[in-house]
Order: sequence, then structure tokens, then C-alpha cells
Amino acid sequence: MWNLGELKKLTKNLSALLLVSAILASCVPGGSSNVRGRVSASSSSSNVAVAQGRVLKDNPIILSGNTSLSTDYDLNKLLGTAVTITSNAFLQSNPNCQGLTYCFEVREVKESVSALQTADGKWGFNVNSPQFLQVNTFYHMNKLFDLFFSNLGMSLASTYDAFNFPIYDTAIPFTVRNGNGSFTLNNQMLKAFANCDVLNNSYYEQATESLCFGYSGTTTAKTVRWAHDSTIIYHESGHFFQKLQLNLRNSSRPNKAQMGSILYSEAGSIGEGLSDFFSYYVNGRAHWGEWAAGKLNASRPMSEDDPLHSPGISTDQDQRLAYPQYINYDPNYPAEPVEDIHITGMIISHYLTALSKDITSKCGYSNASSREFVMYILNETLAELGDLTSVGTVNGAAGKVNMDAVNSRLWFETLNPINYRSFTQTIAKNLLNSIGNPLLSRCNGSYYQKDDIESLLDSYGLLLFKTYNQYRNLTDGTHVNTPVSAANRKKSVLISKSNIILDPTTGASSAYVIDNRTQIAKGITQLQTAGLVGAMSTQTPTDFGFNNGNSKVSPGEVVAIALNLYNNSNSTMAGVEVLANDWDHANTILNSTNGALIGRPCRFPTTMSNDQWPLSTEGGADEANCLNIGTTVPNVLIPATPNDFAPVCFMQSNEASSTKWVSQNEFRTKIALDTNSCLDKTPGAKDCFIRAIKGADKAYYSKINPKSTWGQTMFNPVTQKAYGLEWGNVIFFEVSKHIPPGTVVDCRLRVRFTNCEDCYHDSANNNNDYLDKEYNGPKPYKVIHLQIPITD
Amino acid sequence: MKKTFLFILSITVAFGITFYIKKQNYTVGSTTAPDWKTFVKKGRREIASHTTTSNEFAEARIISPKKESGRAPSSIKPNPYKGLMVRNNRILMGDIDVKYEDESTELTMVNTPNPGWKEIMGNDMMRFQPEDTKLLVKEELPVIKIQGGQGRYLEQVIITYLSKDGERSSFKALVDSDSGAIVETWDRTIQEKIRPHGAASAMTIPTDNDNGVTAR
Repeated sequence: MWNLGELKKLTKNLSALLLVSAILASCVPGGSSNVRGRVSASSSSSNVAVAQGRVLKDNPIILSGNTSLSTDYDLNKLLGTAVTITSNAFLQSNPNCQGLTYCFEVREVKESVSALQTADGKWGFNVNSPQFLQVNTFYHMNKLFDLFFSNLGMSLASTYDAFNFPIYDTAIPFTVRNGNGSFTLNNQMLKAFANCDVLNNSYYEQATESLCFGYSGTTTAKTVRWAHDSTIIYHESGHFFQKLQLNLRNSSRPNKAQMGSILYSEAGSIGEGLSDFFSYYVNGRAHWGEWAAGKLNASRPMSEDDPLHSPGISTDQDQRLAYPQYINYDPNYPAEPVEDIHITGMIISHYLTALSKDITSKCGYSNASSREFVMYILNETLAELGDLTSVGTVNGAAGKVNMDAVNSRLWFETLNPINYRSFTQTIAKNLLNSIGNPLLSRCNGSYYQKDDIESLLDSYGLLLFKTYNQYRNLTDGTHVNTPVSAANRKKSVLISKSNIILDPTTGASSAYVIDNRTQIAKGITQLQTAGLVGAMSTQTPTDFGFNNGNSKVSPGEVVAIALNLYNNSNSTMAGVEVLANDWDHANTILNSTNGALIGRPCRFPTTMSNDQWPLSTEGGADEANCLNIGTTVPNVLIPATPNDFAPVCFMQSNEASSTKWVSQNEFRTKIALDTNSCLDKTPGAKDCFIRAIKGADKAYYSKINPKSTWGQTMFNPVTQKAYGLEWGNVIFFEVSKHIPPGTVVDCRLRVRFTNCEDCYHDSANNNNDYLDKEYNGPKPYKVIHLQIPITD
Repeated sequence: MKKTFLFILSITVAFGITFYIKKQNYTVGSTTAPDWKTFVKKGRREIASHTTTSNEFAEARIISPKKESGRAPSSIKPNPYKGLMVRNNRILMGDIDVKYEDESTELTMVNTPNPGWKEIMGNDMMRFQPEDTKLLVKEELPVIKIQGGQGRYLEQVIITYLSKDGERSSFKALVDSDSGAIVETWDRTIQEKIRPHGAASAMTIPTDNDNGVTAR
């Protein structure tokens, strides 16, 4: 029998055990995750003080001095002296993000419920442990965060005077810094996961504001952990900082600007080059990824004096890694062209490294100060280019950049996206405003010469602009842009847009059609999962059942079309874009009977376009709205309206005495097709029979060699194989099943390229850049017609 | 003897309690989150939807709202409305003006919120996906976009695709509150994935020139 005393004792014991159990429960990892709870100090911890740890201060290749270091090498031997990690209980750091206690935190994997803690407050771990990956990631991220925010503070001090007035027309709003020294930049903490289960990859997932660092090898033998390479950590964090920089002026908007997408584009390649530069920014070493990427033959230099480069590349003015010559040049496989944003991005990372060195040389800055100065210029540049409010700078006004606040994303992503020209032009302007301003004396008591800005850019083939474009859309008689000295343009080549033509070879196709069901399904699903393509017509069957694979365009199909473009000049053409998005090329006359928009194709005057199609007898319209693009009132912002956008394709209509080109709406009325049978059934929709799928309505080609097609440019001389097409090289069209076979469709496409003489600046207007609204018309483009017979 | 018995009993109870507590924390299969929805492609024409389960969060490597609240250290929830203009609890964008924050200022709306917008969007975004693909949608914020003095109701969402082979991809989107159509997307993932040397392209350039399509 139990007596009262024993029962009391039992209760007491159970209570104590309950407490112990609760404590145990908080310490034991959960079964469904890879959580690391409170971990006992490893042998390494015995060597460090509280709040300290030992990390790989650089990547293993650099620390060992052995370029062919084996992946079997014990990386513990490369650990440096103890460094401060954090006195926080968890790997959370940097109080610079206003509204957040910390700017970022590091955990092992996404599923981690508990962040890493140590029993003794020490952060020493075996290099091969998941704990070490987190500590190493934390240390290097913290280093970059501290540097970046301290730099941003200095940027503001260089931009605003003691009374908080801007010293010049800066893009960085004073309000990004709060009274307590923190920054109003991000309202969500960045999470970094140091031990992600992704092969040969690391990524920045913007939607969840997280970084993931993966591995190389196999799932059972992960030979290289990407978080062991500090340059990878800087690069991926660099993408996060680019988002901050691009959106410095977008705090009042829910949607944000970003550099590029999964498809090839110059904006995307600049983003990759900038991320490489973030590594140089922190460590001053002009090479990225020697360990993690290097083991896959994919590391990247950032200076021409790097031994990885091919002969003929050097820091001599005429041997720089110049645009467009070295687009698609992979130093690891120099003879084989590859269209890849990371590879092309090397041009910008090399330029920024060279700019840092030039500033050190000419202005007496230390190398570290020069790197920080370049980052300050990047803050300015990206803040202006990414401004979706359309104001641009402190002295700007609505409509200065990216058209207007309603349509800014369309302009930013499609009509006037960041490319090598706009990016370097804005960098040049910011150099001129700051270190190049004689009144500020910021270069050895003097100033960085305008000729220096232009000469260095020219050595990279990047002096592609004719003015510094200070006033953008607000240019007028009193706001005059500073011209570039033509004498400084020695290496940069500008080519007339008339030189982009279709392959003139006898028998060559002018366009390629892909309608294979499997390929189309793969393309659409990939573009959709990447967030590029939204909904499609309910008419299109889920299995693309109308796609018959005969390489022709038939009713009900989804097809991918690539133009067979040819560079008819004697210089390399780069950043070639084919646009099939809706644009301002139809009249806005309403039908007097039913009030519907007629939308006949405009026949533009020769002053506006090379395109003299169609004749008025063929349906060409020449009403007033066809003679102007957007508002005609200078410097008055009138946002683009739906009437400013017409579908890219018109229909051939056989009438009693002639054949005319008419809008899809007019053709629909003529054949008495109900609007419910249209691709787009929404009221007022203009696409009934055929449309370029939004998001897949532009094609991109990195470069085209002189007197060559893109296919010839990309031909691999080592394997003797043709380069295939990627999803970004084609335009996807959706075709209605109700389109009558035998109908001919004309799609008025617009083509341009980056190193173009007459695609961005207007010789008839002091070589000023075209106003943003003009990019919605024909003037900055070569118009190319795609005529598609619909075949049953 | 009694002491030994007491000790064994206590230890057993202690471990029992420990196990129970851990089970409570990590038994997640039935847990759901109301502002999340999952769409599943079950067959060529069959798309089903349900409130996202904790198992699906785990599959998609998304920290479930339940786990998020139990994370150590806990994350401080940001204020999504901070610094933005608001009308009727919806963020204003486009041609914004402080006057529109005042609900007495007239604003003609071009659409009407439809409770089924998410279903329409989910079905649209899944129609072409292969079987067993999942789409996780998280409602983030309601929005009004103003253009030409008129407003359009939109919903800001986070979309995550999860393929059968475990590949995942996410982005943010604005969706029409009536038609469910995606209006724009951003915050797409930036990959560092190293493409194997000599990897094949998505398509070969067709050699068949007899397509009748001409360009000039």
C-alpha cells in the first residue's frame, strides 16, 4: 500500500520529471526535420571564446594556395584564427533594417524549426558539420551586410549636405535612412539556408526572401558544399542587395523591380555580373567561385590579368573583355560559344573592377575605398533605373523614367529594359555628377575627368550612348543633356538598325516554326512555372491536341516562332530583341454603328518608320493618332491608356474588289463569329484569332556576328554542332481553333539591338534618347513583318 | 524496492511525456492553413483544390504557418501596409493620390471581387501542367490599382509550383479579383545552377523550311 508520504513523494518526483521532460522535449530534435537543437560544443569550440568561432575566411582554393585542391582534403586544416561570430543566441544579425530586429538569419535548411544554438555560446564546429555551414554563411553574410549598410550611410553623406539638401540630382531618397541610423529598405527578414539539398546550385528565392546554398557531387556523396565558398555567399547575397538597390525608390509600391528572369537577357546578365562584383567588393579579389564553381569548371574571373583568360585578353586598353566581342565567351571553354547570363555578365564585372582600379590610380583612393565608391555609384544607378514610381531622382517628376506609375513595369521589363547601354549610361552620369564634378573636388583635390569616364567605357566597347541623359523624359530647351565626346568613341561601334535583316541566303527560311506537341507543352509549362506566362485561352486544349507537328501554323495550335535574323553589317550586333507585344500601331476610330474600336493598321509616315505597310488601298490608316505616339504635349505626363496598345497581328480580309488588312475585331465581325469563340472573351478584348502569349512575346539573341545569322554565330566549332534554341529565343503564339484555314495573318514585329545607332537616341533631336512613350511606337525599331498562312 | 519501482515508473512517465510533446509538435499531417490553397493536377482534365496541408508545406519546403509561429527564435511579422496608401484595407498602386485614401472620394471600379478568383486562377495555371504537379497559392494582400481615375481590384499572391520530381519554383503575382487572370509577376527566383558543359538546348533549329511563313 502507498502511504500519504510516499504518494506525496511520487507526485513530487513526477512533477520534477515533468519539468525535466519538458526541457528534454525542447532539446531533442524533431523527427520530421533536420533540426539542430542545442548542440554540444565540438572539439573546435574548445579553441574559441564565447561568441567566437572559426571559419573559412576565404574559399578553400585560396586558403590552401592549391588551385587543384582535392575535394577529399580535410578543410578543418584551413580554418583561420578565431573570429567573432555573434553574441546573439541565434545566427541572426544586423540591426540596420528598420522595422526588423535583424536584417537576416541563417538556418540549416528550410524545414529547420529551431535555429542553431550552442550550449556554451561558442560557435566552433567541425568544417564538415551542418552547424559549420551555418556559421560560415553567417560570418560572410554579416561581413557583407555591415559593409553594404555602412557604405549606404556614406552614400547618403556624400549626396546630402549638412542641412539634408541634395548636393546633386541623386536617386537615393534621404528617407531611406531613419533617425536611428537604420534603413527603410525591406520589411521582411532575409533567411539563408546553408545546407540546401540542391545539386550544383544556389539560389535567391525572392518570393520567400531566402537564399539557399547547395552542393556538388551526388546525393550520397556531397563532395563540395557551396557554403564553404565565401564568394558564392557574397554572390547570392548580392542578388538580394540588387533587389534593395533597384527598389530604393519603390517603398510606396507593393510590386517590385528585378533584374532579368530565367531567360537570357542583358538585364539578367548585368545582374549576374553585379553579383560577381559583390564578391570583389568584399574581398578585393577579382575571381569568383574558385572552389564551388571551379570544381565544375565554371569559376569566373573579374579582371583581364587573370590566368584563366585566353591569350589576347589583357588590361591593355585594346585588349579588354569588350562588348560585344566577348559576349558568350566562357574562359573555361573559350572556343565554344554559350548564350548564358552568367558568362556574358563577366563584361560588366570586369568593367566595374577596372573602374575601381582606375579610381584608385587617378584619385588616390585606397582599393577598398574605390570598391565602396563603385558600390555607391551602383546604388544611384539601380535606384534610378528601377524606379517604378517613374520619378527617378530627387529633382525628377512623374514620367521621368519608366514611362508612368501605371505602366512602369511594362517599360522596365519589355519596352525599355535595362541593357548594357542604359546601365553604363546611367553609371557614367552618376560618375559625372559625383567624382566627376569639379565643384566637389572628390578626386585627389580635383575631379575624375569626363574623358576618363568615356575612355574606360570605350575600352570595353560600352560607349554606346551619345549623351549622359541627365533629364531623360524631362529634357527640354533648358534641361540639356551633356554630350559624349565623339573623339572618345574609338572601339565602341554603333550599327544602323537597317542592318538587321532576314537571312538573305537563297532558299533559307525567314522564320522557323515549332509546333511539336511535346516541345510546346514543355516550353509553356516551364515558362508558366517560372512566372513568365500567365493564363492562356480556355480554347487551347490542355494536351495541345491541335498541335500536329507539321512545322506549319494550324487552327488551335500553340506555336513557337523564331526569326532567322541576319546581321548585314561588318560589326558584331548584340542584345538583339524581337518584340511581339501589343503596341501603338492601330487607329482608334470607333465604328459609328456599334461604337466598337475598328483598330485598322496605321500606315506610318517615313519620318517615323521604315515600315510603309499597308497602303491605304490595303486598309492602311493615316488618322491623326497614327502620326503620333502617346501624348503630343511636351513634358506633360499622360499615362499610356489601353487605346495605346493594339495586338501585334492583323488579318487579311478578301473584300469585293481588293484585299485589305484589318484588325482581328473587324475580321471577327465580318465572319460573324461570336465573341465567346475568341481567344480572349473579356469585353473589349482585341485578340480574337491569334496572339503572342503575354510573357512569351519577345525573343532575345545575345549577339549576331557580322554577315551571319544567329545560328551561324552560335555554331560550335569544337563539336561541329549547331546550337539549339532556348525558350527565350522564340515567340509563342496562341492560335484560335476558329480561325478559317487559308487566312493569312500579318504580325508587325519590332526588332532592335543594344549597340544600335538609331534605336535609342534620336539624331534629329540633339542625339537625346527617345522619350519613353516612343518605345511604344515604331521609331526606335526596325519593323519586320511575319506573314503566317493558316494551314489546315 | 519501492524506490526502484518509483524510479522506473518516473522515468517511463517522463519519456512518455517527452514523446507526447514531440509528437504534438511534429504530427503535422492534418494541419492546414486558411490563407493557403493547394491545386493538384490529378488527371489530364482533373484539377482538385484544398487548403494546403502541413505535409504539402514540407514537400514544398515552405515553413508552415503553424511551424512559423513555433520557430525559435520567432520571426517578427512585418507590417505589409507600412509606407503604402490604403483604401478599404486594400493597398493602392498605379496613379495613386492621397485623396483616394479617403473612402468618401469617389472611385469607379472596373471589376467586382469574385470569391472564386483563386479557383479560376489555380485552374488556369494548372491546365497545362503535368499530372501530379501541385500549385500552392498564398494570399498576401488585397490591392486596388488605379488607372485613368478608375480602380481595379487585385489580389497579391505568392505562387509556388511543386513538380512531381520535387523541383519547385515560386514568384509573386497580382491577380484580377474578378477574372482570376494574372496581371503581372515579379520576385521570380534567381538560380545559379551550373549547366553541364555541352548540355542540349531546349529545341533544335528545325530543318524543314516548308512552313509557308514569310518574314520581310
